[in-house]
Amino acid sequence: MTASEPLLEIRDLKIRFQGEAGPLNILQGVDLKLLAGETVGLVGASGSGKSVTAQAILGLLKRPPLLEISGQILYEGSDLVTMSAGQLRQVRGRRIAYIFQEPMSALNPVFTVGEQIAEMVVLHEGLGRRSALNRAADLFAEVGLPDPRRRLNNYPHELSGGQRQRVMIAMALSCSPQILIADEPTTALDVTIQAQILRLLKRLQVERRMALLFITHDLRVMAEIADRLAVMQAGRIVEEAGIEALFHAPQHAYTRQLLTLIPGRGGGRVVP
Amino acid sequence: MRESILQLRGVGKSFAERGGVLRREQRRLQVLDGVDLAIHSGEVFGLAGESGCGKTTLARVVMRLLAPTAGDLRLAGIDYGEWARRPRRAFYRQVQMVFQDPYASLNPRLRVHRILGEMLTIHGLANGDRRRRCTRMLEQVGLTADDLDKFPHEFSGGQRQRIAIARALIIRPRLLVADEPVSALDLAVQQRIVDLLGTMQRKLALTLLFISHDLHLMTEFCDRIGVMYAGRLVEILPGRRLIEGGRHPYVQGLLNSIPIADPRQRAAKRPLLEGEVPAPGAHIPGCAFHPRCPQRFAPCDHLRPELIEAAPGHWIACHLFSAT
Repeated sequence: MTASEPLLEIRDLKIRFQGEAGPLNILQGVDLKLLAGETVGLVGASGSGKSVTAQAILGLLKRPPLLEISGQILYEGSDLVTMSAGQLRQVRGRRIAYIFQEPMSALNPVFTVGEQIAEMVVLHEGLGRRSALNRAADLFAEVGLPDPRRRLNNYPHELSGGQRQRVMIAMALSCSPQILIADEPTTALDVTIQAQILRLLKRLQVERRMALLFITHDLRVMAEIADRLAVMQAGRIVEEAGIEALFHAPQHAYTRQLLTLIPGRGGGRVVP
Repeated sequence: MRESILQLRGVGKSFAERGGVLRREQRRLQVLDGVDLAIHSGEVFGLAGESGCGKTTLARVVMRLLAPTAGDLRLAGIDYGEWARRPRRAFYRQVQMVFQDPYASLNPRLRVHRILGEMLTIHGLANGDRRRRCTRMLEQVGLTADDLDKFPHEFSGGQRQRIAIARALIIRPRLLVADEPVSALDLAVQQRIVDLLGTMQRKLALTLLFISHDLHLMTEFCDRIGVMYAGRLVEILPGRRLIEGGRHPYVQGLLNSIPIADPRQRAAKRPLLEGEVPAPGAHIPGCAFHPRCPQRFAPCDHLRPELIEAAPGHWIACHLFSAT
């Protein structure tokens, strides 16, 4: 595979949900490519379809509310849209990993974080328990958890929000994925922790040559991490460009509007 | 010296952490620690800091929703001990609050005219023109007379926050405490609510204690900003000076952490703070920030820095700026 060939390609993805008042067109033909070793940002207001796009890639959409899905999500020659649940499990978590906004809901409160990450390593790599725990400790060190050996014995509630997000990242990395999908991973964190996590994700993406699909509503965060940016509005990608071009020469009116809303940029302030 | 509407002297608040079968006190969690602060009449004072720094506890102590465990407070020159001997409504005639979550802070079973009207009744301001006063207040916050008969669930988050502001201001308090009033809202809506607060503050000559974690938002809006860390104020300075003039090493770390909306200036070049804020039960001798401080030196691990006026109107609690 050459560097310019996409690792993942979404073609004309359309998704309809069952809403209270009839069917809703959630995605109205999304096209997106993800190359190895790049960070693609997906930005948009709440309800624009960013998270649904991520969930579609991961095969996490449930019926209901899912009514209809069409188009293709191509990964290594196969289409994730039509793939069986069993095949999808081989891909999800192993080749395509993900982290979400609220790590507490993704962690099991009654097991130590070490047990949870070791379980994944045992499952995916067939290692014995002892080597799985060693590998877990290495991963904790890689994501910058202080005192990684001791952290293995912590329960999720004993960790801070930032530490829990580091644990989630370690779990996502445990199977050396090619693609990491991060859906608002820093939105619930304080600004100093957000900065640390962003720097960590960027370093891991570069070092491991992963493709990172980063989803957030916050353009400031995008400016820190994304190489390329796709702007979503009402189920469509309205603009896609390199990060510098998008910030300094936005083409679409909606992109320009989003840019004026950034705090501290001076624009968009309505003076009464 | 301008008149202060609110004064705090050495205000502390600690909670008991209980455990074991007898629920005995295991240790004390010091959430506020010796806070000195005077808020001037008619100013917008911003209180900034990360989760757990004590800013919400401070708001709750000011609102008398929590009793301080040390120090004293005065509102309009009157000590809180004296306020406690007066009817509660006399105190809440002076100071009102807007909360973060507009979905939780409005009674879902009351129509808007009752949410507002009850305030007038409680404070003995309900004359025959109750409905007209509610209408006028609603119009001032950007809603209309048609909204009087609606229930909270019929409004968006931003509109609910407007109702919460109307409820707080309809009795014309002197001080409004707003605890993260916009952080639950979309960016576009945030700016409009902040603009509304600014307009009302000028119109009504209101004093505003505005609590937020968003430094960019605050620097445009607040006359002065105080930054808290581990239950103490570490720096107070004019709002418009914060971004360029913040000197405390923690404040500088905080400013460096804010993502910059320009991909050409990626954070990789800026030094970031290591570690996380200490847990409330952690007793750190000296300056609470010293374990994370890139500039710590001899006195920091045993001497607590006092908040001193390093330049006119600019207060810092850091040994780097103490008179030597």
